[in-house]
Amino acid sequence: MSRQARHLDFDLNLVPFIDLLSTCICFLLMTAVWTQIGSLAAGQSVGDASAADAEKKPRIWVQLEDRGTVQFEVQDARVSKDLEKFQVEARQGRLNLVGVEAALRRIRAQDQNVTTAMIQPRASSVYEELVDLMGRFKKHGVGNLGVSPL
Amino acid sequence: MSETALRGSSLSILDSLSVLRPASGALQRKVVTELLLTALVDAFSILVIFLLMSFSSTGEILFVGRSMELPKSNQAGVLERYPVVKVERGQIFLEDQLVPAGRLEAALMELHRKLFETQGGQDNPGILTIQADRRSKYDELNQVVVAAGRVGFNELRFAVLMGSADEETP
Repeated sequence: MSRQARHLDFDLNLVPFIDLLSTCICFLLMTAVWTQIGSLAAGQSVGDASAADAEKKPRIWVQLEDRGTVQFEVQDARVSKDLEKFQVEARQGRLNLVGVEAALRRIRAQDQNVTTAMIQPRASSVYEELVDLMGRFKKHGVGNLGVSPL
Repeated sequence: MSETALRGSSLSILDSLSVLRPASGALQRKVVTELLLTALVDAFSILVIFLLMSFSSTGEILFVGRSMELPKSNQAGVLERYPVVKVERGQIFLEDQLVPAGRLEAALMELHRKLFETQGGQDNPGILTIQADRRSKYDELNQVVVAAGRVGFNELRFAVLMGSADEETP
């Protein structure tokens, strides 16, 4: 009985397996993409047929001013008077993203149908700030964004 | 151990390398050391699984140079293959080809026409990917936005790094 058991016991040759794994690791390491690039979608806010069709949809016009001030104008939405036109002051010379988020929260709390925003940057607006702003809008459910040319 | 001595014994040269034979009498016993391959295989397997899970089979759609830093956003969607306009140090590249100043609209028109032909007469979705440095001014991007709108690329995709740019908010 013990003789038979000894006979069944065998050594697995791990060397080819290690070779295979090493090759796989080398290939995967060389072809790995370490930076994950995504994209933020935005439409053209002027000259776009879809924007003209949806004229009566509630929307927010956002104007980026110099020195980081953001002007909001909410149109065709059921929001209180103070939210129809207001501005978010800059914080330390930059966009006050916390203030923008608070404003978006208030607008969305009053009218959930506000899902469109048109952003009007200035020539001096920094691209990163524009992307940050778009990210905040998307975060708060305003995903239908448009960027207007100068 | 000499080679002649090895010939007499049952050990091969390779086997003898894993057998330590101390010269002194007190320690004159075989010390066989075996490399534990199981742990190594385990580690390799974990590495392969991790790399396979993070493997991207779509390939690199954008080439980002050292001088360019893309803005970060955690609201970004998946980057798909559309025509790419790169704005770098005031120069505009369409599909990695430098476009002379003022010729962007014509180049985009040409690209639009080519896409129409290659897609069997079907209109392309009119989507353009814009790649620019995070410190760029909108003034530089404006010409791309204007030209794209005129030609018929009504949807823009801004290339961003998937990251957490929203950390500072409560």
